[in-house]
Amino acid sequence: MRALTEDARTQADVVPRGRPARGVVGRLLASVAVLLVLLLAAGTLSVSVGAFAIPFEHSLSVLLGFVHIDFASATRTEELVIEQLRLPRLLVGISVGMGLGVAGATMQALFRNPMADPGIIGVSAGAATGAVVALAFKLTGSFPFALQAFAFAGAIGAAFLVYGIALIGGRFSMATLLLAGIAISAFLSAVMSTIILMVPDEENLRGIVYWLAGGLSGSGWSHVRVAAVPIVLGAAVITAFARDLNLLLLGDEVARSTGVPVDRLRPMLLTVAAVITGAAVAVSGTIAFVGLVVPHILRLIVGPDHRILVPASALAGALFIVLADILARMAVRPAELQVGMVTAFIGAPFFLLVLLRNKSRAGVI
Amino acid sequence: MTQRLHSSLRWVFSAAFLMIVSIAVACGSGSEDTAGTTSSEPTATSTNVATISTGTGAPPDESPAADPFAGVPGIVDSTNRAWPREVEGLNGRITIESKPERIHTTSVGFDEITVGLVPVTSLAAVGTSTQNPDYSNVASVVADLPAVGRDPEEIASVEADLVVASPARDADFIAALESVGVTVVQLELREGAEGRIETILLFGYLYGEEERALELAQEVRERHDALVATTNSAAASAADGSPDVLYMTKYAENMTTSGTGSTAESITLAAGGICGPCEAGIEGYPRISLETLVSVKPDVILIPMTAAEGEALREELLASAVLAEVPAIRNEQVYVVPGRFHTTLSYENVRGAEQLAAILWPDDFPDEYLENPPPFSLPALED
Repeated sequence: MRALTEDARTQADVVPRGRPARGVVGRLLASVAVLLVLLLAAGTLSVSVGAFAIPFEHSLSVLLGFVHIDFASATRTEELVIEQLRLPRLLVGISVGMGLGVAGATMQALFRNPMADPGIIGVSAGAATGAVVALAFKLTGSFPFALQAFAFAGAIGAAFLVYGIALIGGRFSMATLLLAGIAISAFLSAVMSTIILMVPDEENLRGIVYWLAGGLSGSGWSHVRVAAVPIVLGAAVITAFARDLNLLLLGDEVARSTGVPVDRLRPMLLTVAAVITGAAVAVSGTIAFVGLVVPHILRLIVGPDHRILVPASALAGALFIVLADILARMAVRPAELQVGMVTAFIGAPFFLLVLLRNKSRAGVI
Repeated sequence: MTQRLHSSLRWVFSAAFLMIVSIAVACGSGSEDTAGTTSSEPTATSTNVATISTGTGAPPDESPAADPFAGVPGIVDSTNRAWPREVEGLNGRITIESKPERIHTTSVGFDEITVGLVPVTSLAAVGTSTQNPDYSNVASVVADLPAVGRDPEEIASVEADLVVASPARDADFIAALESVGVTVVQLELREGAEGRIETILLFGYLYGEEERALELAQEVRERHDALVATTNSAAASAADGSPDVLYMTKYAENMTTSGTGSTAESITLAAGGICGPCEAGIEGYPRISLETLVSVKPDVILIPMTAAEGEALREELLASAVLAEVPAIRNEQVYVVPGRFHTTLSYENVRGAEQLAAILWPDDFPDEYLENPPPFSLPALED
């Protein structure tokens, strides 16, 4: 608890200092512009590379064909590979990365803890449990998108359960929320382990293992529709409340005194973050590190102002997933690695490097 | 003069002495060799199957007295047919004190080999997958046996006197069983024709069922060799050469294939096909996307999954516009095949190869091979 309070103070301390409001728009535009350019470049690269070799000019011609510019002739197969496989995969990756980045930034603000991530309120464990139940009991074929629906329901169910526990006694407590999140996650992990141990069917077991590893292969346009709508809408809602997130960082009393309806806003933002995370995890499985690393690193670069941090986290999260997916597809081409594996491989050392550099600059080491 | 004579005699005696000692030593070692040969006098069975190659890379021994168990990886002393005997497993050198009477293995493939070698009553229990006909060729045979999970305590409760563990089991699992007095041998799951034969011989030695192991190994060898002879001939006379084959599965929206070093590779090669993913540089059992199919362009796709799930994937592949130009899709050469022939690692893979051969070379194999190649005639099954 003491650590949480200290983290919150540390976080709150840096919010107003040296960040004049008039510079916000400029920094926001600069951050967004840079990240958009990088995302555009990464996206173009993403649709140009893969198991099936397509000349770059052919990939470009297919992309430009969407805006009616024709300069090279791609074969029909090349067009189909890009239109039906690579583009939806790219868009699902962008959606998932955007969702995890925004949800991570939101959680870190709400918990006043830069080490918080979307899984802190049990969302990831809930989604995984939902998916494991669907796979173990062969419910994935019962209706379209059953697997995603179960994962999403698990995510939201876990989030509400954790939030409900934090509300017991009529008074909301962030500390209780955090502890309940840890407890429910542990409980759901135990449920998952029990189900996995009891699954007699080898195929179901394989399905569970693959899903838990996380990935974007098999993403189609239907997955884009399922993931993009809640994530983009949710990200928009959180961006709209970015200023309130800044005030929440200063503490509930300060936020209330400036007119922020803390008691209504916090559950609303938690719910939106849970929906975003649930939608992301439902289509990609559990992809580690994005929600934790991306906002944290961006905070060191663009500062703690959520009016910049939230949109920047969305774009940087998307960029991170797209780059990780390119690596996952190219490292062992024409086979693939799991995206979750790549994000952890890149994310963990990079995160440590940034932390050490930051400490070094501060004169701690 | 006398001194010179004395010196010469000394040399003569010395030379004679050295010669006698050398002859004695030579005779002595000759006696040991003979004794060794005598102690492992060729039995009728070993003579019968002396043609079985052990695949160790050593020049084949044409002698009818050649020991087919000699050189089989894992057998420490093939001449020792008494108890106790030793085997070299992945968990070290293990002494089997007496002929095992209650056996348990942790792999479906191992169970299939075991059922092929010992009476079913010698199995203390089987894993749940061995009772699942989707993965196991002996499901009906072991249906009445107790089924156990992966927990060491559960396995210990069936009081097996020998547990054969696959490499998938960790050291803690083995230590837990050993701590309660169970003898555990951890063995490799070996791929390929030679690997299958040697695994049968090793298991036969382990169980004290050498004669039955030799019979089974011989049958497997003959079926495999006959298959390869037919498919080689078919491939040589085919105008388009051997077809590219790709195995794939899809679980929870994740597709995988089988590349170099996989069971599918050895089956494909035995069936006279080309392992498409292997040619594309894919190793093991990695994830793939639909794009990989466009890249590999297989002539035949095999889906070793359960009928319902496999059929759903087949329909999905055939309906995919992206795959329309892939030869296997264009010619509707996509088959759902039983995992028990194609993915469970045992000598039953020969039946998988026969099934694939019937798909690739329909003129050279009877139609029944497409559905269910003839089972191996196993004494234990006949019991």
